[in-house]
Amino acid sequence: MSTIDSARANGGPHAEGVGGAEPGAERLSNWEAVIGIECHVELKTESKMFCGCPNQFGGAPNTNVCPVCLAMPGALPVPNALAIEHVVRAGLAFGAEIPEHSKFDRKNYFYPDMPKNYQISQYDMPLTQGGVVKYWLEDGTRGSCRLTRIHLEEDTGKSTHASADGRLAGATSSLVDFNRAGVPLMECVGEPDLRSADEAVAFLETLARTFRELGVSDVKMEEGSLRCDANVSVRLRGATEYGTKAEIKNMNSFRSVRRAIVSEIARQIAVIESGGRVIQETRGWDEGAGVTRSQRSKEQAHDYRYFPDPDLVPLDIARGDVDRLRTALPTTPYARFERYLDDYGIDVKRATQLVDDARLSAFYDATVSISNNPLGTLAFVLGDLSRLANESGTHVADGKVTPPALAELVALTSSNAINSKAAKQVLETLWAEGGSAKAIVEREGLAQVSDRGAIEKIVDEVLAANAQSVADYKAGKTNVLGFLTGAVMKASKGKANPPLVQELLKEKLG
Amino acid sequence: MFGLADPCNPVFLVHGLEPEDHHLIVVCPPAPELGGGRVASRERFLVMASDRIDIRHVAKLARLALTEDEVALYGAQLGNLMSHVDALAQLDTAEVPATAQVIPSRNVQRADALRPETMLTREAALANAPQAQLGFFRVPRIIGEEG
Amino acid sequence: MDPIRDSAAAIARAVNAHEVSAAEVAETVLAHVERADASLLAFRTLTPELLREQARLVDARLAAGETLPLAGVPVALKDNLCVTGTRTTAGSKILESFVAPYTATAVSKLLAAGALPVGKTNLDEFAMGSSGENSAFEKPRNPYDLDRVPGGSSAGSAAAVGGFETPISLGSDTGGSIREPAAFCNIVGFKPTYGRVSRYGLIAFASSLDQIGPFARTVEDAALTYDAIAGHDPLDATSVDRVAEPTASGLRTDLRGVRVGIVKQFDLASLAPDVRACYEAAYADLERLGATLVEVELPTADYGVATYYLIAPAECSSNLARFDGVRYGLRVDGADVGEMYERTREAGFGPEVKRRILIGTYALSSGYYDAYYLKAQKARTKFAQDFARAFERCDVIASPAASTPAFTFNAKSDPVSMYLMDYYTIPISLAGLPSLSVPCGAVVPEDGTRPMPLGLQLATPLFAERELLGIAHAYERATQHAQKLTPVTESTMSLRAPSGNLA
Repeated sequence: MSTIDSARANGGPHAEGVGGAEPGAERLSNWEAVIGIECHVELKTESKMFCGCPNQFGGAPNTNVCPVCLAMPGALPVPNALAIEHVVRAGLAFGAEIPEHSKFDRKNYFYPDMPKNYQISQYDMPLTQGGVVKYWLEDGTRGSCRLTRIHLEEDTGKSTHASADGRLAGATSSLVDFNRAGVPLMECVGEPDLRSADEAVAFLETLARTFRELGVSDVKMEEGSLRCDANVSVRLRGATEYGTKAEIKNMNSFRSVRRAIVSEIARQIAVIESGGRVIQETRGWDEGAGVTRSQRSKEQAHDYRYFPDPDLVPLDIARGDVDRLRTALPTTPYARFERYLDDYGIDVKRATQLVDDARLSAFYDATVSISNNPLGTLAFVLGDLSRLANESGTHVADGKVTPPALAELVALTSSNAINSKAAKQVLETLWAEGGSAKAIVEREGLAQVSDRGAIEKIVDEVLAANAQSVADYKAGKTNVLGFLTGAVMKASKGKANPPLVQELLKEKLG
Repeated sequence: MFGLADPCNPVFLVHGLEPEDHHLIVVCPPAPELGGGRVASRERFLVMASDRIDIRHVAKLARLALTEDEVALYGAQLGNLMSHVDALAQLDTAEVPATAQVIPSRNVQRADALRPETMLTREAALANAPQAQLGFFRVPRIIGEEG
Repeated sequence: MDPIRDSAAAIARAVNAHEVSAAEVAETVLAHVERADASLLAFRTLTPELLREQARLVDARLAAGETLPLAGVPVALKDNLCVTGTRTTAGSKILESFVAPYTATAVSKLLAAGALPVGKTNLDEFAMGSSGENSAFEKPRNPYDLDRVPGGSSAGSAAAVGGFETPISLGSDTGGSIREPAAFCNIVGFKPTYGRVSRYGLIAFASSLDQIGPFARTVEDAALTYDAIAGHDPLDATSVDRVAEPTASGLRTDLRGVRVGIVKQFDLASLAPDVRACYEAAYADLERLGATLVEVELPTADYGVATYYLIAPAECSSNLARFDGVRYGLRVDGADVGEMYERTREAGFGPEVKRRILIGTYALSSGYYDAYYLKAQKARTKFAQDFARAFERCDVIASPAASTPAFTFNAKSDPVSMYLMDYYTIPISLAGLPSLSVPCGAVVPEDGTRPMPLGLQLATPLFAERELLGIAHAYERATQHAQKLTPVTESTMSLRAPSGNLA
């Protein structure tokens, strides 16, 4: 914030925005950002969208090809049924409408990494329409953004440019690899309901979590299986018309997305405040410089000459299939987050931590369904159990501790049948051997002693043996309590109920 | 109505309209929209005068570097064809859906499985390449995004 | 057995009976074609290695006790069919040196049935044309008058069979490209129902119209060839998943009970008098065989050419976008990729292809899609409706395959006049119906001296190939028009192979 203030003090706003921080509160209060996100997600399938080549990342160039994805003369596409199902499920997860009829259209344009010089995509009858993406911010604020549609298409090949820095500008030639050509791609278009970079990233994170959980995509931005563009515009707060938008491309991580949007919002505000006009154009994010740069004027729109692909036949999507897929959907990450926050009272940070690991979350849910003690269970799952898992390099869900066993341990702990130290020990044994918590407690004699009379006896013994400490306590050194508690615990071989010990000690010490 | 006076003779009679009157038919083209100009109920306004094809623009879209002679020749030839095509506007298709496929097939899909027998080795893939380099297809530099 | 004159059925019988080997047939035909093609120019590329390899395979399978439906039958393949290791040009400079890395399904099936591939035949570039004159390479000649076209676009495939180079060939038909050249060359040309034969490996022109089909000198041979290539292909999403009932056996010999529809809009009065007389006689022959003639209507007929010349170019403008100098074919360099595209396509495509790409691009372009492409697809539905109504009252529709016999080279310089050659065949293509042309007589054209053949077009409802071939067979058997003409090249053919082993 101070950087912005000093920039203003120096006579002018930073045209390109300051890396990382949102513009200062006073400035932003005049302005509202309007953001729409569009992303392309590579689907997780065995084979490509229209041919039988493997859908896999990497590989030596042009070794993952066939006549179809190379667009040899005479080759024909045949659609991948699983890819279609993935898109339908993705839509259903966000409450989208699945129409009864759909089809593929050709989007015609020339580009070297597009072997047919048309892309098989969907134009006016996409597989899903509408839907709502609910997200949450780091501070727990919840929001939602409508989806326009999700449709299915095919990915292009990849070109690398033979130039000094591998970038397009200044290259003398380009090298094209078609391994990726034909990989099934889901295009998700969101409405411009987002109002900040944080919201945009949260929206993307929800999409990513959900798609991962559904198994429709691995969603790895660094591998290119999630690519996104942001349409950004600004307007004065309270205005009803949208400002001119710019399309931001080339953001390769969630962090880039945040930085790029912040930068672009600041840039647009600066342009308008200095009397200029925002131009409708495509701008590329330059990660190194921290700015967006104009790529071309978006005013020159492509004429894609869409028409239904005559090599493919129309799709009918049976209502029965839609119902079956909807019923079989797992609980969405957002729904789980809401339950954690609202029903269980878990804090945002830990709820997010849980949700981010679907398998951990499933393990947790399974345990809670038996223990009915969300917070108690959480303490173990995110605490010692996760620690044990990390130390051994095994996922919690793959370990020997089963949800029923953990649930039992939670119950034993919360009922004070064992104390926390004993619980740790039981957990470690469970992790190493599996089995039942109760059985371990019995076997190792870890049951906590909570009998007032029994503890009182030990307390009396300890007090009698530590007269100096008693005197110190009465003289005001209250921290002696810890030592005395420890002594009672030791005398009871760790089985005494610590709170009860403390209570009795305080009583007797006065 | 599109009358076939003599199938061997390219002179056609558009019912009620002399050929030299074709240029009098004016049309307001629907406002171009991104990606295809899909506008709902324009069927009534669809007769185009034959000299309205912008051959240069269409050639650009189709990536054809036509010579000036070609622009003139094809312009005339296609204009002639379009004046026959214009008659299609008179066919009543208001109640008729567009043909999606002539055969009754729907939902043709394939299971998500590999077809290794259809794949090409890199050698076969590059065998016809005009220019290949290090296993890639090599092309001249790309200026911005094509369209 | 005479591998040059005999039918495919007869050749297969003899080869299966081990009377002659596939290898012997191969050598005889190869030598013959090498001589005969100098005047016909049907072939772009002969494939002797493939031919001999196939002959070896066939002989091995026969030795193992197999019987093959087309054992040892030589076949010519239109050069828009991909065959592994074979130069496949689609009649275009843009693919002049392209060697296909895979084989079309229909061709694979044909080879599996025992056929011997002699070579690839010339065609109108990318199958666009009705005469063969749009070939960027050799322009095939009509075997019945070398100054006349054999028809198109399957020009070479028709000339090869009409000129007794091979007994059968494969062509492709989009708006009439099998039926019209068959009529011009005095042979049978058969276009199956759309979707009956896989298009995988057929270089696409108009995806919703293209079909592969056989040429032969008899209906039975056409049926045999069709049986070998028809059937569902999982590599073609438009190939129908329907059992293709065999058609070659039990072909009917009379037409009792058959209702033949004569289309009111296909008025014979507009034809030259002798052509008209020929068709009237053909219709009378159908009646003589027991058929009832019924007048039917195709009210949309006159919109056929307009409809077709919007849909087909639109689809082809997109299908031909892949010819860009990047992955295969001709490349003309440029300072940047955009310039390379433009120069390559300008140099590689001929005028007719360019015209169709232009009109197709226009018909799909922003602002015009509704008026042209969409409108044409609606008109197409009307054609289907017209035929559905017509077939309530008849079992087969009969008409001329073309309005004239073969014309001379350069006779039709105006593109639209060429398009009109497809007037009778186009409506049937738009509806996807199975259809064929069978020889029905001959006339001496005004500008010629030799009698030139005419073809009778027959069409039945979707998937009724068996009925169609049966009706054609009955007509052929009773009239035998093809036998009444002798190709020009016949008189110069030797019946003996160089070794003198075959009589």
